[in-house]
Amino acid sequence: MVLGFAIHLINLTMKKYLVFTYIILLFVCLCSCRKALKDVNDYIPKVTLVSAIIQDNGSVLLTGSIENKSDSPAEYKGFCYDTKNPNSILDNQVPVGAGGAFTAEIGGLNVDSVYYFKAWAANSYGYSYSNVISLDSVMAAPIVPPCSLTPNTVDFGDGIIKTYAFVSQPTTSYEQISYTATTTNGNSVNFTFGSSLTTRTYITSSDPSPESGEIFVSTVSGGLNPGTTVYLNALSPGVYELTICNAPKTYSGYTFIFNSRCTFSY
Amino acid sequence: MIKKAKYKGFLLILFYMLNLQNGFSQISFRPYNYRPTGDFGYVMKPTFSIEIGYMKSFVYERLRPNFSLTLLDMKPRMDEFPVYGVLNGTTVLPGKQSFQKYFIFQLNAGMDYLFWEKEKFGFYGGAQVIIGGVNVSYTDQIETIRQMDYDGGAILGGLRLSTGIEYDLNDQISFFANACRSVILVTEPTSLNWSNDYGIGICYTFD
Repeated sequence: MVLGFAIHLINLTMKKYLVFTYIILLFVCLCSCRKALKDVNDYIPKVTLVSAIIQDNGSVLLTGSIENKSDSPAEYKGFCYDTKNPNSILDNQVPVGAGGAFTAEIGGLNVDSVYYFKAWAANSYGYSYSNVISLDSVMAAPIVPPCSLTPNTVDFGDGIIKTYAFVSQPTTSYEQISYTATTTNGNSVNFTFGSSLTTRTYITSSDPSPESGEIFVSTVSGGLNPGTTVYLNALSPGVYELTICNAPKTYSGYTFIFNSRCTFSY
Repeated sequence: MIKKAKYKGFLLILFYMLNLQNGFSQISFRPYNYRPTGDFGYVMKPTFSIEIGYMKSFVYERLRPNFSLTLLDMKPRMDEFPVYGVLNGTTVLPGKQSFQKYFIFQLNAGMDYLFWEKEKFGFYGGAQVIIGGVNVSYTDQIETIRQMDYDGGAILGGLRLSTGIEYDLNDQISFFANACRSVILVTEPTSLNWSNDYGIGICYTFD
């Protein structure tokens, strides 16, 4: 009888608290429920490489987009590229800030190579890649020199136009690229670039070992005066044309005006 | 008077839980569908299993203890999960994680309370404490910073809330259907796993 009475009291006292507590706990549990997504791939951001466009300066502008179906936003995003396909997120990784536009400009590409570009993004569940866009002949829009010269000719400043009969194969030494062009009567001009070849302007230097962006042009009587702009165009992969317009050259106290337009293969 | 009754009531509940000779006892057999949710739902597929239980019947009082055990064989949703690491705050390093084995063994113990009853039907809610273990085999690697293989066991603990409805077919047999929400903390790999499970079962009552 005592046991029955005790249990009856428990029932009366506890019922209210139990029901209330249980309802609160159930409510909390139900609110915390995050149903699993049907497609497991929906947890990870879906990335698209929208475009890869060669710019006038020879760089490539990449644009990506992200579609996220999970509750975890993309924390990291960026691009990667290489001359091999497939490539990995570690190949020339170009991270882009988590917020803001999903774009990047890639420069310093070789006109002679085929590049494969991908976008990637990562959230708390993992990372994923986009589609691949490949580009070859990545070169800048041609730059127009301010003078019009006959192809493969040179004027050493004496007013006599000579034709280049032979252009040597460029050689590379300590990141500098050199080649020599020889006229039909044996006069030669040596060109030494201080960096890789691409469509752009270079500045003449008096240093036989020019820096990046400079060129050393020399004849038997010495080099061109420093500070003149020369124009290099990549005509096609491996084929370049160098134009020098009205470049002063001082020799024995006299200043000569040097002009040259020369095509070479590298 | 009421305070003393509550204090005594607590002791009585404890005594009641431990004294399995009082009242009618039931054995239950419950097949159920186990559905991971949240981050656990990203990794593991839903699965089916069976829960064997032992409990008191609601014949004399509304509060009854219950015990049950179950075993789950979880299968991952991907062969390899594309995990990654971050170096120096900016460089993303690719990686992969895969599960070869993920068994969960659970022992549940708790109480059910009969909220409402009418004739042969009863609606109840319950809460259980979960203890158990997992048997896991997985690999986890991220380029240059992590290479991990684990094959072994770990312990788990958690809580479960349940809601169900029971129907007494006769004095011996009753059917029930319930839904549960549980959370378990696993020590290796360390994770907090949420899940829902839905089952129907049969109880056999014996003296």
